[in-house]
Amino acid sequence: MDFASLGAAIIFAMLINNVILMQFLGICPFLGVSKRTSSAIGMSGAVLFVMVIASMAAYLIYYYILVPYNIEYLQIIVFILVIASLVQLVEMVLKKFSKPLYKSLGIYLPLITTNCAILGVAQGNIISDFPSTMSVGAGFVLASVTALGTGLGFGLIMFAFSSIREKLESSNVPESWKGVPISLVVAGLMSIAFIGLVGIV
Amino acid sequence: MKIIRKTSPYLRRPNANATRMMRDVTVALLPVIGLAIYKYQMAAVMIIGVSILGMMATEYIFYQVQDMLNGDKFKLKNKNYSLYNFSTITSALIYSLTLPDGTPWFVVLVGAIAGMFFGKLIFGGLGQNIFNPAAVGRAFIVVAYGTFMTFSVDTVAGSTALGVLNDNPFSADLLSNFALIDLFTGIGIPGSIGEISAIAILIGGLYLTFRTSFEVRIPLTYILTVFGLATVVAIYKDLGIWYPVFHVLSGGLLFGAVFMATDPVTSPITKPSRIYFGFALGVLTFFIRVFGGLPEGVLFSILIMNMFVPTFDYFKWSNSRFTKKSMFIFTIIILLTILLTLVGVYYVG
Repeated sequence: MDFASLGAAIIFAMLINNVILMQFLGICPFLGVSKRTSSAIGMSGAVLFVMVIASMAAYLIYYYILVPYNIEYLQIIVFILVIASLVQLVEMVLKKFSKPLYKSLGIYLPLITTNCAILGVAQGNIISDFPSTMSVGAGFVLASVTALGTGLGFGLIMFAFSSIREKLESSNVPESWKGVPISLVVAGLMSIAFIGLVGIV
Repeated sequence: MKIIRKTSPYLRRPNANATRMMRDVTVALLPVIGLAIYKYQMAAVMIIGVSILGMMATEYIFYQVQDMLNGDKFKLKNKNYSLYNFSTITSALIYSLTLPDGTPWFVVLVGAIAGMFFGKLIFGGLGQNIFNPAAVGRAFIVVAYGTFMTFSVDTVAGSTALGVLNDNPFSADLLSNFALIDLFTGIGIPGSIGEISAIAILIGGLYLTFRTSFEVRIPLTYILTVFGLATVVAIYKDLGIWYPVFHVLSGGLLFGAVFMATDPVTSPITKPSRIYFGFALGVLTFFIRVFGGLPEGVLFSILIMNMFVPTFDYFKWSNSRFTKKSMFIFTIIILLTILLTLVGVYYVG
């Protein structure tokens, strides 16, 4: 475990195996909250926070509670519980300190609970092959770094996509393609572009 | 109220308009086309012809159908139809010149239709698109019909220059198969029909520079970045000056830098942003070539950076001149990139 492999893990999770464009997870906030750049940034911040904390908690709970008692089959329920309580925490903090952001996120904030990207990262950290080959401590560091990279990649693509959508709003798109259809086409083209990065790292 | 915002290309000088710019790009492509037809004969004529016909027919049918849906009367000529300002022909020529010579006609046609339709028309036509139409078409067929796009390779080399580079990125054997002078003139090496000859592309680039129809910062930064990073690797690996020159001359780097990255619609508005844009293109291209699974990174790096153009133009940090702070951040990013390259090369071996 050295810094280079941690950096490689961040770059891999952020760009090459991007959570939105390559794994197709977290599409719901990707399409739902990307109309305004400011709300996209807020959403990415909330997702990043929940993702990192939830992955760390999920990893520790899995190896120190579920594995010793042989109840690994409960992992999905337990992880969702952890994520839901964290989302409640974020919601309370946002409601207290940033009312406009809370309003603009709207229904999508509680929906982070069911955001498959977060559960996907927490689950992926456990089912991928690295925990079996290294100690729990090293695996924990790698899991939290992967979650950090995934959250940053989510934020990067959210921001780029929301600025594209703001530009598209003022352009002369044909009537039948306005709004969501053109956004889906843009998302597909972005996904094609990211195929070019496959194989780095 | 319906507002139609005028997007780039902006009118900067009285004689600078979209028609003049696009006509200049078409003229600048003539030496490349001439060389492609001289070298590949009927294959090149077929590819160029099919892509021009495909793109123009797509645009024509699209606007006729749109008029029909709007209930307008049928007219043979349509003012939306951008044949008259050369932009469709330019896109079609750029798209066709990036194709390998062994591409079958239906693959060329599918790419032309997809590039025109998904890359340009559904965004609202000229000046509104996010992605370069030529790059969209090319990427579409790379993903969908990758196995059909074959090079008619010579028996000596057995592969294109970048194919060899991708298999073994730091070997001095590269020069034994591909002499630098061949890469410069484009005679006797396999490759995409318009990308093989550095000298024809440079003539076109110089013409565009003298006609000021062209943003010279982007290709300069792009090529210099690839050259600089390759120089760093060459010094580290003790390879000699031929290594960066090889990187610049081989593949579609010059063609992409001069003709694709400089598309005024899909590049940033401010001058510093254009320099950052070129730098990011160079870094992505070099990383995909040396570390990535694909042999060539120019096309995908252009698409990826097109996606971030609205981010570069975001009002909070887009600035029309260099400030001390932006210079400082840019210098740190350059140093970090060099560090990242060295770490990567150290681990790749």
